Amino acid sequence: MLSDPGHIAANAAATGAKPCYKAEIMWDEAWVDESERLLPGFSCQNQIVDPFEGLVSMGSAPIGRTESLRFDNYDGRYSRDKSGSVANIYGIYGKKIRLSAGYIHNGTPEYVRIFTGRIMDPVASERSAIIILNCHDMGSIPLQQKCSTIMYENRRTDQWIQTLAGLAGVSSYSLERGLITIPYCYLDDDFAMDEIRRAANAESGVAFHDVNGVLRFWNAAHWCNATSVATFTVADFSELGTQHSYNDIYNVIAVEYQPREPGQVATVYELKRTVVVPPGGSKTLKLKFRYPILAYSNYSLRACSGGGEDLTSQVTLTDVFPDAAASWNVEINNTNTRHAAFVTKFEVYGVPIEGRPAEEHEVDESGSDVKRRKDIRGNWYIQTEAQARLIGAILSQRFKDVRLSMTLKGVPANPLLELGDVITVTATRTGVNKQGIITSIKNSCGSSFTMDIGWSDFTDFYEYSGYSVVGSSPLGASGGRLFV
Amino acid sequence: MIHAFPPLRELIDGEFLGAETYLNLLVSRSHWLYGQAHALTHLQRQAWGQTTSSLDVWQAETYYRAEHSRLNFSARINLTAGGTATLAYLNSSDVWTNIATDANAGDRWFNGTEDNTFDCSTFDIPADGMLRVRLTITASGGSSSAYVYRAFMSLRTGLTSWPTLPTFADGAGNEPDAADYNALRTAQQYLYENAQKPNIASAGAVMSHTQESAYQPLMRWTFRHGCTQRLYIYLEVTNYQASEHVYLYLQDEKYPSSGSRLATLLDLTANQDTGHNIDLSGYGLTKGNRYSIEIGVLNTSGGDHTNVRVGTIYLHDLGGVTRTYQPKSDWVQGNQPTAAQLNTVKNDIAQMRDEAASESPLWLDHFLQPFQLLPPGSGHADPYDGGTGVSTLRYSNHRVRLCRRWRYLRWRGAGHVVSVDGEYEHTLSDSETAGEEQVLDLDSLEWLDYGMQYYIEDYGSYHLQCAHEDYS
Repeated sequence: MLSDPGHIAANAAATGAKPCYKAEIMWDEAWVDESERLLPGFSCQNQIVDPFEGLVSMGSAPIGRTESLRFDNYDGRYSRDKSGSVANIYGIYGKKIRLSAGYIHNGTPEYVRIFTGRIMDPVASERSAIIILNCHDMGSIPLQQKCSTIMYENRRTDQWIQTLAGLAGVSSYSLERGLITIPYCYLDDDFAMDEIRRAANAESGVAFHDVNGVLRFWNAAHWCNATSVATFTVADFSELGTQHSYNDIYNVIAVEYQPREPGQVATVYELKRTVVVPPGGSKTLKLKFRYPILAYSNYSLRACSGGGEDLTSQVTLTDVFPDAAASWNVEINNTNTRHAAFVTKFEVYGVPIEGRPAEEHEVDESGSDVKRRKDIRGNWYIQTEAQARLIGAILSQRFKDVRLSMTLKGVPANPLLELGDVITVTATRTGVNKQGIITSIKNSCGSSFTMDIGWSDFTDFYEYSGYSVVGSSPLGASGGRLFV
Repeated sequence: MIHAFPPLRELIDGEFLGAETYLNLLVSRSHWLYGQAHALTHLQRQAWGQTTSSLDVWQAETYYRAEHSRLNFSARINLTAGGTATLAYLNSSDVWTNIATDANAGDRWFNGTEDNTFDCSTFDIPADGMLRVRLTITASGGSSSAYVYRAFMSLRTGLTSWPTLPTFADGAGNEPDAADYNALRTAQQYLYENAQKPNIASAGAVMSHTQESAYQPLMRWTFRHGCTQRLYIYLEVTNYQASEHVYLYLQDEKYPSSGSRLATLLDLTANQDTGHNIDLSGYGLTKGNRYSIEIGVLNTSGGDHTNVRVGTIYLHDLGGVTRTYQPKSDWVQGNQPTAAQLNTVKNDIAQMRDEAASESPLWLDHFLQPFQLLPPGSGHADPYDGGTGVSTLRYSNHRVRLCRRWRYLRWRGAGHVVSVDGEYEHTLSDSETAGEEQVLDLDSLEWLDYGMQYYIEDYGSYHLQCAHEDYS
């Protein structure tokens, strides 16, 4: 839950509170207040992408945020093709945008941020002079960036995510410490954001951009010992819908992991054609290795002229070792100014990281019931038995029983609430009286400010309560319990 | 190495302590370390020799590592007037470079010091990274001799320091913090660095001597007394001559130059082909101290008989060894760890510290692997006569034996890796860069699993000079 700048919580609970909104766009270097042009009747939605599963498999269901803001565009300010407009000067696609919301208290607006992202798809209307800016969260640009890295060893999940964030240009992050260590990790022209989520998934954690545009990583223990931050009763919402998803019950969880180890020094690249480097010139190739390498050993190259004269000693490389674990952008230089160099042999040697035969950790809670099995496969960051055991324990706990999910509609908006907050809901006809985790928030912003809240049952989310906290839990019978 | 020392994250206060995510990994690391402390360990061969001209008494090598830059060396010399004893290393230009030279006549410690230490950090180490050392003696108008007792690398420059270990207590007011758990992890890292050391091979040969009515030592090995207190030696005695004896002695490291012969471990008076397990725990040895094993023959009638072949010699656990602090290694979610359980984890780690008081000390010493000085086919020549042919000692069929612990085999020369039963073999070529140290990834030998024993030996006319396992 966000911290209250003053009286937002009180106004959210009060009748007749007047909402206020603030939209800002970073056209150039500074935020520009665009609130005067912001038209009421827009929505802002934060949710887990697959709300059907809710938080059950948090790691595989990344959080996404979208926003559709309506602006008055009578002068074409937001139209890129309008000569002299701000959008024409600075562009519009990918511009940072942020939205704050709150209530006016004693004539003074009080805001908290409810969205930070980028403008992705502007949809303009000529006659109505309105433009709708469809915006995505801050992960939208990094999502499209492919990166390559060297091989990293024994990186804690958050350390690897931090590395990936740096590659993706994400400078603002808040990462919980990973619970496990990934033995070997690297990128080979992979999408950095996908890899961030995959890495988080490898320990049943979740990675997402929050309302402030900060990349956050929550590990699997994020909600241990969590307490409810708010209570909603029948008087607080216009409708409550509940759903028990019996199809989502799995009493057997199987997690595949693939141990990896350094192999013997091997030829990881072998030229199978002749490369011609012009006299006094150079040629750049991107070599793709057979295996990613932990360590580069050396290379072997032979070159000759078109007539067979040995030019090997006159052929050099600009960078004498690979710049990535699985590839090498290599520039071959020919210092002979008379002959073209025909490179007939180019082999690269290194210590490959090899996948050992895959193994599987299975958690079977079926007892005498029919087995309903869920397989976790294909995540290359899951390399150790410890990782598989962690994931197996977490998922079996969350899948083994039917879990209640619900939607609260027409709730007077409290913009302090965040995804992941634990809240309590009590109702009469449905008999609900439970704590749950907020899985989605849809803000409807107009003259009235309401929100719809998606909610997933927090009961038995973890097998135990009172988990042991390093530095504050005593040992012994009165002490905390071990997490997975 | 046996790939099972799992990475473990450092904790900070406020984190949740886990079973699979922390304690089981922590204890798994301790199990790996305990196995290393109690690993089957071959002994380093000592050397001695005498000459009337010039003799390389001893050569040995190890892969040089900057963090272990101190060479510990001890030798006793007895030079004739005008004789010299020179300790030298082979530099990157293949030139023997003096480390220390002693030209003092008479019986004394080499370089005037019983336990020499030399800083190798400024040495011009060859490109293959190998530190190769030798002791050469010369004589002038008489016979010079030398005993080499020890050679190993030490120091822990830049490595992990031993932390202060916590004592855990139950109940409020005694909450362990991240520093407490991290101290255990740090101590394990310290021990892990100790465990990373070359796995030297034991040297064996067929041996005899021809000096009538005399006992002659034929081979000596040195070791540091620790938790592995069962000495195993495989002996084959052939051509036994009545009234002669084959003795196996336990003695102080520098006997006969100093110390005493402590016990007669074996006194054999018949042909045999047998392994012997000898319990060293009853001889009053002190943990951390260094001792030697000597095998020799009392020849009563002269002539070349009562041959002794040493198949292998190593130290390993006695039967019935107990691990006083057996840490719980099956933690599961929901367990409430007690102080007693965590103190057991802590004590188990503490008992592996390289101290004499420890139950299972994991010593640091990086022993150098001595060279085999005899080429094959030299039959009953011996390395100790300095080419004069006057010695009565007889050696043949040198070979070394190892128990697979690390991934890489370093060797110099040409030879064979052979399974103990002789069923499998792999040729170690000297052709790639003749005479230089070479490396074999033993993982490439499908038949050679970790924990298996194997020989490395000459074949045909090829001479394997030196071989040992290494961790990188």
